[in-house]
Amino acid sequence: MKHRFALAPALLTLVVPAFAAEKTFTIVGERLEYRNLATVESETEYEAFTGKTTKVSGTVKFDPAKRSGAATLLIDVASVNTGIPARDEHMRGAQWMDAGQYPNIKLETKSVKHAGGDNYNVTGLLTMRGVTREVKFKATVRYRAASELNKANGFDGDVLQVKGKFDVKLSDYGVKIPAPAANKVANVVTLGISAYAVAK
Amino acid sequence: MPLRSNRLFLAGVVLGSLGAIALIASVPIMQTYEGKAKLAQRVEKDDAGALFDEPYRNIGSPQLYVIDDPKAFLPTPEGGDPTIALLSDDYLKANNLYPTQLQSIRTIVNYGRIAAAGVFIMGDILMILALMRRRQAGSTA
Repeated sequence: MKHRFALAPALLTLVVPAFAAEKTFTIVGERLEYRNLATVESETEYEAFTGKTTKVSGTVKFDPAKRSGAATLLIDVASVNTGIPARDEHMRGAQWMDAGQYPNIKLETKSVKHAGGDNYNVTGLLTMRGVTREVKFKATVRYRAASELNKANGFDGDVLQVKGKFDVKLSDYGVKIPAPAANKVANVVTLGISAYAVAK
Repeated sequence: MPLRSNRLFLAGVVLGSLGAIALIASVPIMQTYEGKAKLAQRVEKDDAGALFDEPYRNIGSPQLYVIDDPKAFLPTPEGGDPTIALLSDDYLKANNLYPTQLQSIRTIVNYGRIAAAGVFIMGDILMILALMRRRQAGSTA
């Protein structure tokens, strides 16, 4: 009998994660911001380039037991670096991303369906230059419960690694590529996000 | 008049030759770059990747890069695709190296070929004009 009671706390620790409720994770910022990465890839017959920024923010709701959740992510437009300062300046301009008026690209999930392992099928709403359109893509979400290893890696609490990639048609969002740049910037670009989020 | 047409002819020969040399030279130049190009995935170190067994994170998609410095390439991890080399963005940044793509070189060479063809055609036109002048001068004399 004594043994049964002794087993109870151990059983409880096994059962609790299975009923763990949805947690709200915050995308890491400040000193850990460099660990996030948002990319935009453009490829034409003449030129291919990748713009990148670490300025990703937002929240992810995730239930590790049910493998369900939702997310709202923001990407800072003005900080996107393509490797050529003059091109970055053009991209921030009113004709392109209009960073002055629309400082962020926003991705809000509508539905997240578990597709086995760490994979998810996501339907979301992408808002860019004030235009909102639906996007569908595959994402991976990896979860690590709070541990000493998390702490050793600078994360204070549970950690999520979120990754996703999808195509965006710039003309759908009001971007009119000027004729001289038509061979240099693609109308369909690939937006990628890799971010870490923490819940205490 | 013949002196002028001689100069015109000479200018045509020079321009035509330069254009032809540039057009011919562009073939081995392009072949050299194509031989050097490597299909590579640009990556950067992810210091939190240890948590998820991913030491690097990808920047964009694999592209054909022309990088002379072999130190810029990382060893292919176990189970990784051996046909795609890993190109260290951290190394490129630290050494101020621009990740030159074969596609960009192709574009520059193609523009060069168009210019060379233009120079070649211009040279031919000048030579034809010079010959026509010579003929005209011959018939009036």
